Amino acid sequence: MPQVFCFCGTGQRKKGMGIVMKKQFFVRLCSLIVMAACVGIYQINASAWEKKEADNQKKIAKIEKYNNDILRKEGKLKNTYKDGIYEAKAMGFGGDILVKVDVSDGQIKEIEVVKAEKEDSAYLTAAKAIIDTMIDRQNTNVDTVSGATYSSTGIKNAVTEALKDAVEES
Amino acid sequence: MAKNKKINIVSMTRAAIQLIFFIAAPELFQASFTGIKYIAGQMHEGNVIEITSFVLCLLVLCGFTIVFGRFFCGFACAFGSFGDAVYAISQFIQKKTKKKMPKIPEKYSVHLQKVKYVVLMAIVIMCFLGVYNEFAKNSPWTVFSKLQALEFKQTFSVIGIILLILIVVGMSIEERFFCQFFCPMGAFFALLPVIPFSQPKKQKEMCIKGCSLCQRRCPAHIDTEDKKNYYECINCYKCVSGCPKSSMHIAADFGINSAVAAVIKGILLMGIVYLWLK
Repeated sequence: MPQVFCFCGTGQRKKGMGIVMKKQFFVRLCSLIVMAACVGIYQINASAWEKKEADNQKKIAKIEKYNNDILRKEGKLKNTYKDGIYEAKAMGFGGDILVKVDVSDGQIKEIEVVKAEKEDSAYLTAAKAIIDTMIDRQNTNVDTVSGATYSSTGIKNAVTEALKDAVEES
Repeated sequence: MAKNKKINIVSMTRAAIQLIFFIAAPELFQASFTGIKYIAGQMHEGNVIEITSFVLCLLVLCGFTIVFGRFFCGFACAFGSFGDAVYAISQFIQKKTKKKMPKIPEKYSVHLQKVKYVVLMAIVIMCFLGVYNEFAKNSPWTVFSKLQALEFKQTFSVIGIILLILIVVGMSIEERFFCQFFCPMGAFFALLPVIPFSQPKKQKEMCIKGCSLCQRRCPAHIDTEDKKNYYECINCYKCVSGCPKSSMHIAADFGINSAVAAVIKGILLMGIVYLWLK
């Protein structure tokens, strides 16, 4: 079989086909660059929004902690949780997440992820940020972690389930 | 006879590569499309786009397609290979029973090929608007993936099953029926700037006058004269392997035998998939 080398664009005879393909290529290339630029611009904005949202969450958690500390000092904060160690599980991304919640002096002192076999370690690490928020706020009604929604929802639901036995009859 | 033997070697090589990808990496087509849906969905929510495994799959396959052309479509897509198998079985049955099924006239095919862009746009827009989740469960691809993974105990969407059956019927009367007319992933790949160096082209001065074998063998109905729709090409090598004069060629193959070139690209793609996506 004869060797065929073709460096298209050279030679007048290939003009018709070569030019059509080249024109289409450049139109598509420009479209791709424009699309990529749009996604890039969006991404920059979304990152800024996310940072703002995270900062807001931190501020809210700080204020709530401050308020709760004052109420506690004045003895006005109802002990909302019964002391004890509670365990429960809920569905994360790949499977169940088992958490252990430590309540003492009426407060959530510690939350530990005991088992999360099916969770991707990167996502799980990111999701664990929700633990600090729940301890700061002393409740489970918190936002999930963006980018690790399923894993953080799993942790949140597991803690909620665990605290079902800890909520005092008022 | 020598030409027919060459055609057979190339088509058997292709079938072998398709089978390997079908077994080893059948999820690629759906994973990359999920990447597209995910990006649109994140933009709807105003969330940051993370480089999930789906997005990575999309980027890898797009990169490969820009450099090598729609080799993925022609050799590695499980759904495309499934369609080829259905068509081959249908051809075999028609030959043995001497009964012919209806064919879609070529002039309609060229227009129908535009429909897949509408499908792609409709799904992406629905994801942008956040209303796609309602329809997602009816996807025939989901039904296919579950069956392919031999998961029969799952709940299947009735609409999804009906769509899949209709697609299979289409696949048996027209080669690459779904790929040409309805595949949103194929539409996305067809919009990429595939470098012309990697696409099959004719050297007109070598052609036999009045031949048109390449055009007749092409499953994507590509006009080899003016190549206006060269992005429909799925790099199946039918034109190159069938050309009696070696006029039809892929410049990027540098004269290597078609079957060998296909194997090399297959190994390259499989290597990339296993290194970066698994």
